[in-house]
Amino acid sequence: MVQSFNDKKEEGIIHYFRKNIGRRAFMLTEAFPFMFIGKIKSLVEDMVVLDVETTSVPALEGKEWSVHIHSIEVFYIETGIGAKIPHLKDS
Amino acid sequence: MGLKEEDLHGKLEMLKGEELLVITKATQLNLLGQVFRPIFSGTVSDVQLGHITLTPVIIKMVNAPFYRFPFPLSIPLEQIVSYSTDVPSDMAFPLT
Amino acid sequence: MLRKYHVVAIPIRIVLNTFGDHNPNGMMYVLKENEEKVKQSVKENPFMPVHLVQPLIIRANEGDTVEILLENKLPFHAGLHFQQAEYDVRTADGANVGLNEDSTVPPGGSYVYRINVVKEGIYFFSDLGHPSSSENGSNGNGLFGALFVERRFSWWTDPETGKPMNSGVFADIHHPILPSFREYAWVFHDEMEVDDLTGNRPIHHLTNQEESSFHGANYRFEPINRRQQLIAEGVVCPNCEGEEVHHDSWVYGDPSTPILRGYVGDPAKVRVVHGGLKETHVFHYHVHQWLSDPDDLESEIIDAQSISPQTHYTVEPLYGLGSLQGSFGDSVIHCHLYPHFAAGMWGLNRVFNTLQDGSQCYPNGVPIKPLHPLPDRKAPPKPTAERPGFPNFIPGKVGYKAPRPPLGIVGGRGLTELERHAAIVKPRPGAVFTDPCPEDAPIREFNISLIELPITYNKQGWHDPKGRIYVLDEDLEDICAGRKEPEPLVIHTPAHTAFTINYTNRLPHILDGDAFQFVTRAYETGFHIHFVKFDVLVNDGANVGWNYDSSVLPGETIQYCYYAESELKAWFFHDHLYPNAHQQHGVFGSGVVHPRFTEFLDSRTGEPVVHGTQITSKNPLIPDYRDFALFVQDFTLLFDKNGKPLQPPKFPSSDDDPGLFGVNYKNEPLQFRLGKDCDPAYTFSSYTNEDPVTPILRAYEGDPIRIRLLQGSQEESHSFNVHGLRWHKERGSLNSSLKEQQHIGISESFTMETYIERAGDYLWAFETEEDLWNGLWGLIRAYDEKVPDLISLSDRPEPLKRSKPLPEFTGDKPPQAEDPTILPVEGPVRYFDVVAFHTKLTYNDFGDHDPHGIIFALREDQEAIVNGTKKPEPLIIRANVGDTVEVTLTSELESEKFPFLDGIYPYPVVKEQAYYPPSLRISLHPQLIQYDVKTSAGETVGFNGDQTVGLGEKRTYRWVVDTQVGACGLWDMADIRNHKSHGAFGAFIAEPRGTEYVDPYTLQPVASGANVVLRNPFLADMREFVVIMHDGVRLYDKQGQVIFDPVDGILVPPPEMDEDLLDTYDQGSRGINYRSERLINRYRKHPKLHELFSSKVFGDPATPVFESYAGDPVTIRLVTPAERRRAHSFHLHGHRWRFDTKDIESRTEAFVGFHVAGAVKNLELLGGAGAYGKFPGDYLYRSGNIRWDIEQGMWGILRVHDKPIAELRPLEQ
Repeated sequence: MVQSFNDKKEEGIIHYFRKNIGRRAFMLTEAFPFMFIGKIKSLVEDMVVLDVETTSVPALEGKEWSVHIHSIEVFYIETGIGAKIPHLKDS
Repeated sequence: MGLKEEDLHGKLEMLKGEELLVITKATQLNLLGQVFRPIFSGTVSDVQLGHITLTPVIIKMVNAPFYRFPFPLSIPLEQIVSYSTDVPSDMAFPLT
Repeated sequence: MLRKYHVVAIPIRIVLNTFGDHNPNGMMYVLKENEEKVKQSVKENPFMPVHLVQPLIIRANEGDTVEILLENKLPFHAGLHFQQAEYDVRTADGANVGLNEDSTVPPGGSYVYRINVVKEGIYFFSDLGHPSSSENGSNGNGLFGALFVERRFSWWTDPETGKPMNSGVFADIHHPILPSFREYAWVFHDEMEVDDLTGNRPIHHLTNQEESSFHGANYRFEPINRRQQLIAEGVVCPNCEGEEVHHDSWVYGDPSTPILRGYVGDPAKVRVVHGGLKETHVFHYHVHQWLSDPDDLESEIIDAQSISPQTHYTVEPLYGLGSLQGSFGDSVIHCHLYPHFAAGMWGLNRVFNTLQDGSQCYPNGVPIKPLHPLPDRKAPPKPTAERPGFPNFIPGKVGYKAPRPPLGIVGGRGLTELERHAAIVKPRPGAVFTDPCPEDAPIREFNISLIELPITYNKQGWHDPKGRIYVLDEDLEDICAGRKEPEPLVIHTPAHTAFTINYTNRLPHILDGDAFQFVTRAYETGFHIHFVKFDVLVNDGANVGWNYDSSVLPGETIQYCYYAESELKAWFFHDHLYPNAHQQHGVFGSGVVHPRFTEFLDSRTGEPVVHGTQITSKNPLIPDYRDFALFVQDFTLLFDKNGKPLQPPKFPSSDDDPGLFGVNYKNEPLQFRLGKDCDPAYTFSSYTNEDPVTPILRAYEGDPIRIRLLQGSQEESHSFNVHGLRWHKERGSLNSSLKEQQHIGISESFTMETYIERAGDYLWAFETEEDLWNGLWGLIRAYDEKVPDLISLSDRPEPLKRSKPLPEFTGDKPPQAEDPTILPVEGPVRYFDVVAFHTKLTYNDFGDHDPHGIIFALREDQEAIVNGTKKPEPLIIRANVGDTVEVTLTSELESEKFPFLDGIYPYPVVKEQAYYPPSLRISLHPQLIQYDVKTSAGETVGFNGDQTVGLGEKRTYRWVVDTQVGACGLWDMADIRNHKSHGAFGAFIAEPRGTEYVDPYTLQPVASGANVVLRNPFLADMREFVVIMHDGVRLYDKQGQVIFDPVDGILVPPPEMDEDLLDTYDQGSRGINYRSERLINRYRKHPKLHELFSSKVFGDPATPVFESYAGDPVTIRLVTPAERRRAHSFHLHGHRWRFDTKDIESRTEAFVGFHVAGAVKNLELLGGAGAYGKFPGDYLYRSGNIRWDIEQGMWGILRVHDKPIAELRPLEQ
C-alpha cells in the first residue's frame, strides 16, 4: 500500500518518540495546559505517555499524562548530546 | 507519490546548517502565561522523517522578537503551515 | 513557596524634587531592613530626594503564599489591603468591614497578613484604616505600594549591581526559559500635600498664586514652575520661555522623576499603578506601543491608556525598548492631561546604545550609573571616543536648549563627525540614527502648516479668536479666506506607508493674552506623532531629555519621516513644545492608517481625497466603509458674540478648568434649543430646532462605518455614547463584548467599527451632564433613499431613488413617532408597564434624602412605593435572548414637584447654567439591545418622531434582545438637567435563553429587582447582583439642609478648605441604587476612623448587602447611568473576574475603571462567592476613589455565608 505524505510524516514522528523512551522531553500544545516537561514512559499508538515534572499549572504536575503526538506544536527531546532542558524549580 | 515525499525530505536535508523561518498551526502558544504566535527562526540542525530541529532557535514574541530560546526546538512537519529560507533571523518585521 | 516580608508603616518626610518641594507629613511602607537607613538618609538630606523614599515594591512568584508582617508606627490604625490576592477576608483584609474581625493594626502594634498570589500581575496594596480624602488621610500622603507577582520560577536582581534584591521600583526579572526583562514600577499619584523650602504652599512664579495640586509618580514630580523659575532668574537658558524646555536635560540636567533605563531591544514591563486619590490619568509613552491586554494577542494595540484611582495594568512594549525600529535615546513618559504634565507628572525611558559600566558621564558631568546588560542578551558595544553612544555624540551645550537635529530643517546643518559615526548608512531628514522605513515602502508626502485664525464654534457666535490648527498647505488659502470650514486635520493612508511630512510653523511668535491666558512666547512648534515608527532622537517633534529639539521657529520648515507598518487606528498628532499654552486652541489632528490597498473618496463628490473628518473608503478585498473622526475638546477658551469670555478662570493661565467644550471645533449647547414651547424634551429634535452644527455623520442604511474617536484637549475624562449602534470592544476579536460607550482621555484613540442596519437619526454624545449640556453631541444620519450629496458605497446596492422629500425644520413640535407594536412579532414577548413618578428617596438611616426623587417603577409596585411599604430602588428589569420586550411608559410628573422651575440648580452646578424648565415629558432609553431608532430609542432625536410621553400619556417601546449583552443602562432622555440626577434611570439585563429570575429569599419568580437568582436548565444557578453607581445627587440632611457633598462628607478636614478644590463635575452626592452610606454620618456617631465600615459598631450599611453562600456562582452587573464627568473605579475585595466576560483569554482583575455616564460591566466572580478559596465573610465593594467617593458613601457589602441561614435559600447545584 502506498503511504500518503501525511502518514509518512506521522509515522516518522511516532518513531522518533518511541526511539527516545526514557528520555526527558519538552512540548508545547495549543490546548490547555500548553506545556509539558517530563520523561517519556511509553507510547500507546500515537499517544505518548509522560511522567510529567512541570506544566503551566502546578496542580497538574507529578502525574502521568498521555499526550496526542499529533497535537504537539513544538517539542524537544534530550538525546544525551546537545542542550539539556533546564530543571525548573520554584525559587 | 513516494518519490515526491523523498523530495521534501531531501529538500529539507539540503537546508541543514541554513536559516529557516517556520510558522505552525496554532493561533497562539503559551509559555507559563507568556503568549506568542508560533513563529520560529533558526538554523536547521536535524531533519528526520517526521520533524526538523532548529538549533539555535528564536521565538518571535511580540514583546521580545529576538528571544533566543535556551534549547533547540523540534517541529513536527505535520504542524508546519509555511516556511521560508529567505527571511534572515535578524530581520525585524511586524508581528501583529 | 512561602515568602515573608517584614513591612513597617512609618511617617516620613518626602522630598519630591531637587528644588526642595516636600511633603512634611508623608507616610510610607518600607521593609524593616531599610527602616533605619531611610530615616537616617532623610535626616541627613532634609531638602533633597532620598532614593529609598519610594513606594514599596516587593515581589513574589505565581503560586506563592506571601506572609507580610506589618508593624504600624503611624499614630492611627493602619492596614494593608491587597487587591487581586486570595485570602481569608475575616483575618487578612487589612480593613474592618461588616462582621469581620478588625485586620487593621493599632499604633505600635503588628499583624501578619497571609495571602495567596494566584496569577502574574500587579497586587496593589493600600491602607483602609484612615480612609479620609483630606491631607490627614493615609493614601494621599503615600501609604500605598504594590506586590509584583512574576511568572513561576522567576528571580530578580538590581539593574545597577546585578545583585539579588528584596524591594525596589526597578528590577531585572530573570527566568530559566523566558526572556529576562526590565521591570519598572510607575506609580501615579495625585493630591499629595506639598510645601516649598519655606514650609509654605508653593507659589507659581508668574501668577503669584498657589500652585495647582500635586501630580507625580513614585513620590516625585518635576513641575514646569520650578524649572521655569531658573530661566526667569537668569540661571539657565537665556532667551528661553519655559514650556519648550520643560523636559530638556541639556538645560536642567535630568529630572527627579523616574528614569527607566535599558538598552536597545531589552524586553520590558512597565507596571503602571494608580496609587492616588482622585483623577483618572492617561499614561502615554513615546515611541512604544503595547497590547491593551498582554495576555491576549487579539487585543487592541495602544500607546496611551487611561487609569483610574486604585487600578493598574502592565505595559509590555512591543518589540522591546526602542520598538520595532530599534530607536535609542530618551522617550518621555507622562500623564497626557496637560495640566498634570506641567505639574510634573512625567519621567523618561532612557534607551542606551552603548554599555554603561559606570565609567561614563552625561554631558553635564553627572556620572552615568552602571546598567547590567540582561544576561540572555548580547551586551551593547562599549563606548569609544569615536562612538561614545547616546547622549555623548550630540553637539549640545549644557545650560542651553538642546541642539536642532542635523538634516531635518530646510536650510539647516549637516552632520558633525561624531554624529556621522553614530548615524545609519544613509542618513536623511527625519531618519538619522535609526531607519524606520523599509526601502520598498511607498512614500506619501504631506505639506502641513500650523496657523492661527479665529474659529466660530456655534450659531450663537461663541468663538475662539486665537484658534490654532493644522492645515494642508494646499488648503491654506481656502481656509484663511473662509471658503473652507476649519476642522481638525485628518490625513488618510493605507498600511505599509512611509510618510514624509514637510511641516511649516506659520504661527506668530506670540500667543496673545486675554482673560484666560497670559501672553506667551510660543515661538517654536513641532509635530509630535503617536503609533508610527520613527527615530526618537531627531523626529519626535518634541524636546526631551538629551535628545535633539525637533521643532522649528516661525517661518521654518522641518521634514519628518515615519513608517506605518500595519493597519493602525487613528494616530494622534499635536505640538509637544507648547501644548499647555495652545493645544486647547485646536492644535491637534490625526492620521488614519487604513487597510492596505484602500482608496479614499470625498463622500459628496466621489473625488479622491487625502484628508477629511468624513470620507468614504474603498477597498478591493474588504467591504467599503465610511470613515468618521470625532475629537472631543475641553478647556476650550471661547468668547461669546459680544466678546465676553465664557467661563474664564479666576486669574489668567490658571489650570482650574477654564472655558468650555467642543467637538471638531464646534458645539451645540442645549440652552439654545428649547424651542417655542420651552420644552427640553425636544432639544435634540431637528424639527423643533435646526440640525446641530456639530458633525452629522452621513451614510446610507446598511453602510459599514468606522468612527475614529480621539480627544484633542486638554485635561478631563469624557464618555462617548452612541444610541442604537454597538461595536466589539476589541476590533480584532469577535470574542470580545459589545459596547455602546467608551471612556476617553486625551491622546487615546479608539475605532468603533460597526454598521447601520436601519435608516434613521442616531444620537452620538459625550454624555456626562456638563458635556452634553454644553453641546457635545451630534447625529449619525442613515438615509433610506438616495440623496444628491452622498455617494453610495461601490460594493453596496445603489440606494433607491428618492420617493419622498427629506424632512425639514419646522420650528414646531416633532410629529409623534410611529407605534412600533403594529408590526407583527415572532417569538416570546415580555411586557412591562412602567410609570415615572415623583417620590422621596431616602438614601440612608441618618436621614439624608432627595425629596424630589423621580423614579421609574413597575405599575404593580407603584402603590406600595407610594405607601412606603416597598423601598424604592432603581427599576431593574430582565429579558432573555430571543425575547421581544414591550415597555409601556406613563408619565406622572408634576411641575410643582421639581425643586427649581427654571432648571437652574444652585448646587450641584454645571458650567453655563441657563433657563431650562423641567419637562413633564419623560422617556426611557436602553443601551445595547436592538430597536428601531425611529420608534423605540426612548428619545426624540433629529428627524425621528417624538418618543417622549407627557403627563398622563402613554407610549410603548419595542426592544429586541438579540444577543446576551448582559447589563444595559436605562435612562430618561427627555430632560437631562432636571430628571436624571433625581433618579430617572435604571437597568435592563439581557439573560441567556430559557432563564427564570427568582427571589433569593422566597424562590418566587420576580419581575424586577437588584438581587435575584437566575435559573436556567442548561446552566448552574447563579446569583445576580446589580450595582448602579451614580453621582451628581442633590441631597438634604434630616434637618432639611442641603448637603454640599463632597465637601460636607470629608472626614477630618483641614481647618481651611481650598474653595477651588472642587471642579463642577465633582459636585453633588454619590449613590449606589439610591442609597449612600456616607462615612461622615458614622464618624459623627462614633469617631473611630478604622471602624467606619464595621457592622458590629453601626449595623449594616443602607447600601445593598448582597448575600450568598461560599462558592455560589455570582455575577455582578455594574451600571453607571448618571451623570458627571469624574470617572469612578470599582473594587470588590477578595475577588477577581475576567475583564471581558466573553473572552476566555482576557486578563483577570479585581477592579473596573472608568465608570462614568454610560459605562456598564459584567463581573463573573472567579471561583464564585468567596473566590477559589471559598472564604466566608464580609467583602467590601466600593469605589476606588478615596477622593471623593468612599467617604461619600459609595460602598456596600457582599456577605458570604459558610453555614445555611434560615432566610437565604441555597442554590440548586
